[in-house]
Amino acid sequence: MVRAVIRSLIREPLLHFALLGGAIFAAYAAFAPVKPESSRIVITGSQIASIDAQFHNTWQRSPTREELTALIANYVREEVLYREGIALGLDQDDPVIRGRVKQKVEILSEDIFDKQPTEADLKKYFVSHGELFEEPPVFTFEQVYFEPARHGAGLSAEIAAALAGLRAGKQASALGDSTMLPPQMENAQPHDVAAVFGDEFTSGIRNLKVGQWEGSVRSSFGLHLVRVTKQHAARAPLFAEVHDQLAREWNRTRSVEVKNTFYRNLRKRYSVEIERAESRVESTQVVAK
Amino acid sequence: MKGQSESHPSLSASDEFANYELWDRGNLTQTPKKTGMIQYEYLREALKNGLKVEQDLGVNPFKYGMAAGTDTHTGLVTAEEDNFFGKLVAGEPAADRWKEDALKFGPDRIVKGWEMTAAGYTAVWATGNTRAEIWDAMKRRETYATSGPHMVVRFFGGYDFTTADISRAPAAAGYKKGVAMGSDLKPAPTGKAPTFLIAALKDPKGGNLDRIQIIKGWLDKSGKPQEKIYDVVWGDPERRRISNGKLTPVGNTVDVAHATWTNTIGDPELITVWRDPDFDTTARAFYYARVLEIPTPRWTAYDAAYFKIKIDDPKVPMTTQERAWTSPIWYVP
Repeated sequence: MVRAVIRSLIREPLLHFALLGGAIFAAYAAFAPVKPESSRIVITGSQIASIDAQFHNTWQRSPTREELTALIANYVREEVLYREGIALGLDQDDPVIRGRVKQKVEILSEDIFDKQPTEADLKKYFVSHGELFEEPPVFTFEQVYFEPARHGAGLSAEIAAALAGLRAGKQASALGDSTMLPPQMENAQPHDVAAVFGDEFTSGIRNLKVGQWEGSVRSSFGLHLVRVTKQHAARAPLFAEVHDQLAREWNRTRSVEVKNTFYRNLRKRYSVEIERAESRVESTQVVAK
Repeated sequence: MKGQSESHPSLSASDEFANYELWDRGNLTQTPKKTGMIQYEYLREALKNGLKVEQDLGVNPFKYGMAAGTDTHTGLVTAEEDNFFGKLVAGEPAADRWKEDALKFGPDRIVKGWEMTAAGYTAVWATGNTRAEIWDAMKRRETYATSGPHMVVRFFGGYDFTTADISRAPAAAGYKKGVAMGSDLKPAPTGKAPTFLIAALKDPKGGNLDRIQIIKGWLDKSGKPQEKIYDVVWGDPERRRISNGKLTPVGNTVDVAHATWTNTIGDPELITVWRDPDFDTTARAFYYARVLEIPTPRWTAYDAAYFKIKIDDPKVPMTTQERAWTSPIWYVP
């Protein structure tokens, strides 16, 4: 009887699983490369305050008792797994972790310069980078379209007649050929005009007399009579108008410079040797910078 | 990027433009297709099968709107023939990218660089440029797809469109007297056949327009799906006409060696009203429009001209006929 029970136990897969599992844990306990530096985890009052603050940032309120208990349990879980991972060396040679640490060092380097530009700094920047702040020209115009293929030899005479009619006050919608092109555009920048009428037309309307029907202007669709009713030329803004953008751009430029200087200074402390690349990248030239 | 899925020559033998930028040899890993697979992989068939399923089950599960996308992984909007930056970083412009293996899963399971298609975009007729309005427009399928050009395409269906509706603002009559692309036609009044107001304006930086076609699919008396393609309006009408069911080709001005063309053929804009001459009030049907540009240089021609190389493989197309496809309008008896 007992023997039969033992025999059936020996065949029981669950028992095999339990024994094998136990053996692995025992082996791990004996051979684990490094023990976690400490097996004691203390959640301090300031850590709880920080957990509370993070929750508050998201939810605009403090966590309830149950929520806080769950958040702390989660923090403990993270701490346990993190320590075990560090003990196993899982932080080594990880591109994500390397990138993050590099980023933190760069942020440190940004902190070491004073981020408030003086007015003199900004004026100097305005002079050297003025073109960044230039406002593009803006057009408001109407157009009447002529498709050359529909007119043949009479084209230029018909356009001239339409132009005379328009200047005498005729309705634009009654003249020219039917088209789905918009009869007018308002406050459009060259980029917007080109998206509808193409580049040739866009440069063609730049130098038209404002307020009067002119033409014809050529586009990739055909010919157009155009009345520009409003045109603001490209304009360099005044210093005061772009003061805040200047401060932002100055900061960005300066931060790149500081980061690069910081790196160059650190780099001087190292000697770097670059060996020949292995395997398939033979033809790639490796250049040390 | 990976070809079009509107139609396939083996399914639409009478469609002279079905053989366009096809990727039909295998799946993503280029495992060869088995017989019978193709018929379930193209949109026109799905639209036709949808009519059949609707007749059998009372609902049409294949009421698709038209969409196109680039499937690039570069973060760049460079799907034009003259700025094609490839699908992946590895496919950026280089003298030999046309003959490299873009995909390789075995000795016979290769896709060559030149098989990449510089396409495509989806256009949406929304009431405004907000997330909600664009979403609503896509939900009602008021969209059209293009192989890259920024064409403006209008397509309305109703029973009362006449040539008087051909105007500078076709949408005004279109919405008033009919339904837009993606919708169902209203029930047919006695004795009337569906009419369609259809218009296309070319891309200001692209080629002129060759023609607009309406593709009709319907269920015949025996419940079998059928299709027919009608050329409804075309450029250069003074020198082109339909004989034996075929429209005179538009011609070709492409100078492959220099990757240039001229807009001396075709028209910048096409608009017409078309009435279905074969309408049967009892037959389920769908109609969609396909707009074709005149031939222009394909990205392979731009590459060859820029890098001063010779593309000596006759399989590589050096010209393309860009196009747009509208969402269908359905007729439910």
